[in-house]
Amino acid sequence: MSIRHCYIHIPYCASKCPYCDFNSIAGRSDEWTVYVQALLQELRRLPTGPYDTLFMGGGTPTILPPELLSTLLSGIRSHIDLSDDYEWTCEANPSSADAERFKVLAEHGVNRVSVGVQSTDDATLSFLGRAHNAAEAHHTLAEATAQFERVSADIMFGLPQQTAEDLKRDLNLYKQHGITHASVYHLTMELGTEFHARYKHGEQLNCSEQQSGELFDCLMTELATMGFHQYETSNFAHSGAECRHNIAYWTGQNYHAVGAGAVSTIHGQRCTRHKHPKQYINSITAGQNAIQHTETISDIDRINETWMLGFRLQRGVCIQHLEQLGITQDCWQQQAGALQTDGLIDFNNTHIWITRAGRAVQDAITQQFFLDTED
Amino acid sequence: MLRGMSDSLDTIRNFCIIAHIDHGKSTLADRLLQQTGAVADRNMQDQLLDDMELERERGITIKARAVCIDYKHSDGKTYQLNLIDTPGHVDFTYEVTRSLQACEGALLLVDAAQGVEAQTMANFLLALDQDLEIVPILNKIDLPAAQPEEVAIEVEESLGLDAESCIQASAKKGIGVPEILSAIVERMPAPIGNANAPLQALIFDAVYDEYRGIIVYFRVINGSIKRGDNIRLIRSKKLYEVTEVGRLRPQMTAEKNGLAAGEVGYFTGSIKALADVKVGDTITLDKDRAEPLKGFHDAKPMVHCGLYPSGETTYDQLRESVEKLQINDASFTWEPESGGALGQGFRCGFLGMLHMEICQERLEREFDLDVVQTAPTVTYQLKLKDGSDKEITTPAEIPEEGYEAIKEPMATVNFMAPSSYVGAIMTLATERRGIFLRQEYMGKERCVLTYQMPLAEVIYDLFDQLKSHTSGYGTMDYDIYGFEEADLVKVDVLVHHEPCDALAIICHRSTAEYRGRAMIKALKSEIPKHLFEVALQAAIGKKVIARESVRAVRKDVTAKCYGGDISRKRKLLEKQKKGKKRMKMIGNVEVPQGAFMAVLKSRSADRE
Ligand SMILES: Nc1nc2c(ncn2[C@@H]2O[C@H](COP(=O)(O)OP(=O)(O)OP(=O)(O)O)[C@@H](O)[C@H]2O)c(=O)[nH]1
Ligand code: SF4
Ligand SMILES: [Mg+2]
Repeated sequence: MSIRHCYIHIPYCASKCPYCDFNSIAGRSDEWTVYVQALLQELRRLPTGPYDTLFMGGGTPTILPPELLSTLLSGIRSHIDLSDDYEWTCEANPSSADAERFKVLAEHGVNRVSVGVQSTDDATLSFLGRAHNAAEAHHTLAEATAQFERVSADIMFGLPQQTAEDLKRDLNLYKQHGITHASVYHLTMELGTEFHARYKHGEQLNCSEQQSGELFDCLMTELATMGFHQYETSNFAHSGAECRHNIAYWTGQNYHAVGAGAVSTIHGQRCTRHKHPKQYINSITAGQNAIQHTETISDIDRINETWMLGFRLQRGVCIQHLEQLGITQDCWQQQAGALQTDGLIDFNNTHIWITRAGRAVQDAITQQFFLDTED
Repeated sequence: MLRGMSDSLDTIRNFCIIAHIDHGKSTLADRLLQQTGAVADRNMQDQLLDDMELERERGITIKARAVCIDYKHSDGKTYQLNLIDTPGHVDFTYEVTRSLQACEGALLLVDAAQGVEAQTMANFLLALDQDLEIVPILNKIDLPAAQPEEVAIEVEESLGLDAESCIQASAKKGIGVPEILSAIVERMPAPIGNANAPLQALIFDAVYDEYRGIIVYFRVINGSIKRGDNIRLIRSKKLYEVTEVGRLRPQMTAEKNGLAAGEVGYFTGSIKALADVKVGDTITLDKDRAEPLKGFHDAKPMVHCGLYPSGETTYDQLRESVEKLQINDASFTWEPESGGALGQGFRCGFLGMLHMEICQERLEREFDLDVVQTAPTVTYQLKLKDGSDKEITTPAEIPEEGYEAIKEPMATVNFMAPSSYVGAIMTLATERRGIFLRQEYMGKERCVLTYQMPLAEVIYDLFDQLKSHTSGYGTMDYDIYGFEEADLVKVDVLVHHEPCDALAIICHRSTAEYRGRAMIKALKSEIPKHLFEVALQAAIGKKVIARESVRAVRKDVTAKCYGGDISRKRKLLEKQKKGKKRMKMIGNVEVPQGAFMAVLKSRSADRE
């Protein structure tokens, strides 16, 4: 079967947010043009498709000036075929995205944007080191919804001393702007970030486990009353507004990828490209593949990933898929039975899934289904 | 130089060095080795005979060690001196008793600054039992605080040894060593024995060696032994051909003429069957058999605990290792036991708490094992409902239906300390159910307090507590004199309603509640959060005396997981799972190995 999904990475941002562990780097505007050329060069090596989903992420793709953005998009379009009912997402940040850029995106066929709002409170935004304020965020959302039918906004929770009221105020933006997709992430101290280092030195940068549990409950309830369903652990959508590109990851599909640090997974080979844009550019322009690391996904890896990713989805893990991997019901009956009694998971003939009650502790549940690994 | 069999017993002296802990035995052995030229100066290091890693780390002797040295006396003759350096700590007394039986004399060291201490007395009495010639030595006279004249009087008063007979020495500075060497030759008797009689040799120690099999240490009483002899181990009824006989100088040195009556050495015979060699057994020749010698009294372990394999270690590995350890430590006993959550393991017996700790560490280091240890218990005697008697070494052996009466081992404890600490010691002893017997003075300053106390109270932490209550000056020894009935109860620990044998204890009713509380508290801090709230209880029978709970996990969710993070997030969860796999399961609850140790330690902490 041909591969229907492709991820495209733009590694540049206005400034580096202190909690961020994405492959992103501040500034370097003199490199952008060459980077776009290299990226298109790599893209032209891919099969032409047709593709069901494209996802342009970062970094901040909208940091590119409109002309360069246009060059990138038309370059993509000239090589890639899209299926009739394609989804093409582009990430956008309030600090750089504007009506003009949104127009360029729409003209070239982008039909979904995902805006990194994070908070609607100025103090919180500055704590998070974001380059925008609340007013700018609202402005960008208004421009995005004017141009696109499908808009998503990212919100962050689990901040120090955050109350349920604070969170509800943030969540209100979905209603306010008529946005049908929400990605709500818990602030995490990721290794290698500035926050992680400060946290290690004793700075209070997150909230208590108790509080974090309560906020998670609050957001699930609140978004449900606003007509969203939690189709994945951190992703909520009105019916039909789900992100199909991300669902492809969670259901174990193959996907192509281009750009610095981008990861593709094709027939059990997971390839990571050079993270640093400079190295990436050098490798691609020298005619090489820029791949820094290739991991072969073993049978056990694949099984564990099926559990891990499937459990993130509301619909759960597909039992038939498990059976294809050699995991029959007797392999998990015992754990499942006990967890079902405790109301943390449930299953029927086709799927096994985590319940609303189990959602807050899904990592602990997931591990119970993992197969043991070597060394 | 003497080589091979001594033609005469007259030029042999066998003796051991005995003393209270730290009075300088091993240091004196260093000087004897050095001044007789047995070890070249460049090869010298402090406490050379303490060559076990644990001995060096802790600065104490754990194993008795035999060495053979040649000494040219002022009479012009060269003497063969077989010395055995012994440990001073009370937990290793069995090493001393066995060593004494291979000797005719003993150097009794007394620290000239500390004076006669508990183990000075205890070891002196043991040497007297064996009719050994005792040469008292006042060591550490180089110390500014040394009072050799006063201590000599103390030796005369408390041990009945002539003050005039004490040799003043400093093992550290090498002072008095020539006098000691002369005294060994002149005051200690030569061994008596007949080199032409059938072989009779006493096994006093052994060690397992990966390449040579078991190395057997022995003292020849009569007859002789050499390479190629077919020997019989009388008690175990096993035959072996001797592949090497030699002396310890201190490294093993083969002696092609063999060893004869009066001498001390080792032999190897490719002995791989661990059960064949027993200390106290007699070696004789197969073709010319002799009577067995009087062996040793078995060591009677009074402290018991369970040892279970954990981590990568398997039951079979642990079994082989405890067998090998026992070869080298005859006072350590073991038998298989099933420990519920802990799986299959061993019930092990020790002479005391330090002995227990050392054995566990030796298992972990010398055999590279990972073991979990359960709480120590003493031996108890039960009178059952049907009128029969039963000895138990673990709370799990208490029958479901209970018992008529329970008796615990009792000890007479002698505390010695400067008189100013009498009050502190009395408080300590009374808190631990001690019954005062008497108070005596040794010299003007020092005092001996004698108490009767349950052994259980003695072994847990009494020694440490004594040290801290007497600024380190107090010492103690104890002797088990029998069993007495007491109001004891079994305290069960229930982890999420599941009783855990490995955590149960037996204790006095009056202390049950705080013990229970302390254990539960320690457990609580060790058990990780689960998906459900974990209930922890301590109970006597059906009555819960303490309870705590470990709250359920509130939130454990990976926030983001997209195409680029999948491998990393998967590995993170796999790693967490692996961590949990190393834990022990009690019902549905994962209990880290450290929890067993923490519960065990809670007993001494909760007193403060
Ligand atoms: N000042 C001084 N210190 C000494 C003398 N002899 C031994 N020591 C010190 O006393 C401490 C204990 O010495 P060891 O020889 O290990 O004592 P030990 O009697 O063998 O101890 P155990 O075997 O554990 O019972 C060491 O620090 C020695 O250096 C001495 O004559 N003078
Ligand atoms: S804008 Fe987004 S990608 Fe860029 S540094 Fe901030 S969080 Fe990271
Ligand atoms: Mg010593």
